[in-house]
Amino acid sequence: MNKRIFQSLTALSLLITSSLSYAEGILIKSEPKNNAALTNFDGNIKLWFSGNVSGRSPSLVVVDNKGNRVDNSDSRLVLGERHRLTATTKPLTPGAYAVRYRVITEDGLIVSGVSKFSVTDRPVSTEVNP
Amino acid sequence: MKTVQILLAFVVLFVAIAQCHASVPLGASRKGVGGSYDMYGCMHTNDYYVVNFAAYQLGANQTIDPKNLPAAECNDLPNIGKTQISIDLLDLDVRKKPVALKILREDGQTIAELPMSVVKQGVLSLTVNFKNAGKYQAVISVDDTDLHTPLDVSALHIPLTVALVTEQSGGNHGLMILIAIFGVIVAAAAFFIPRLLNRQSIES
Repeated sequence: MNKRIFQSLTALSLLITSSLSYAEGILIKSEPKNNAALTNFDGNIKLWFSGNVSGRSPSLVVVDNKGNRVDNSDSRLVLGERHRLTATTKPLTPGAYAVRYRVITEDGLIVSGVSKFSVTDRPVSTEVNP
Repeated sequence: MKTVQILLAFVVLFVAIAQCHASVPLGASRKGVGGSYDMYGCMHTNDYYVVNFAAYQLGANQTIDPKNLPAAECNDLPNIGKTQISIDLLDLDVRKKPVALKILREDGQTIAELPMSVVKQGVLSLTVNFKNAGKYQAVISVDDTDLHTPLDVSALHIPLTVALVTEQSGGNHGLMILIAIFGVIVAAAAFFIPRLLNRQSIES
């Protein structure tokens, strides 16, 4: 009996603590998606975060494959149910681009990283030609 | 009875785990910019990177004892002399990329540096001997293989002053004053209230 209670409580504690760890802030979605190849890029970069993100020192930088900045230095963090970090870019020519992003949680944890995408002048075909 | 014990143990364990999750500030109890203490510590950012800076000043004959380091200073170092600079690389991806650190004098001359190398542990450590009071800066350069940004463009510059600040702004002086005022009020209450009550009982 005791063993069964102990096992149940252990399982419950693992479940609860694993859900607590998600409260620390993670990147849940990005547009463009990581490694996406786009033919029609509208010049908007959007990243969504979950958790207790703070308004302290958010950043979003977009660079081309030579490291030149192509964003308009207008990154903006909107805190809400899903925190949204956005920026716009200059008109992009076909090529590879990288997005460096950062938000800081209220606990002082850093959520940062690099997401990549490319702009192509023709749709990328996924079909295999005979 | 045993079930109750298990339940109690579970509650204690759960509370302890929850506390661990809730207490992971990176710069806790560290002096921040301007001398004030906050949970972020001495955090510095630019558009690309974020680091936490700490400087430990040592006496002339003092050696570095990792178990007994002096209080970490932020941008304003109170004294000249031997100083242990410690920089936490807070971007996890940067710990896999070559990073260099330079300490520059105000005229741009390098007085100490760490060459470009990958710092897997995420902490850059450098001992600097500041011989003169003045303005300096720490410059962190990342050879970012994802961004290909020129080093001088993405470099993170941390301004430092050495032996220039006599009294740091902010700090924990405000808290000390509040504690002192509270102590005076408590002492006054402890002194006057019994006497006041005593007098009232005599008069009645």
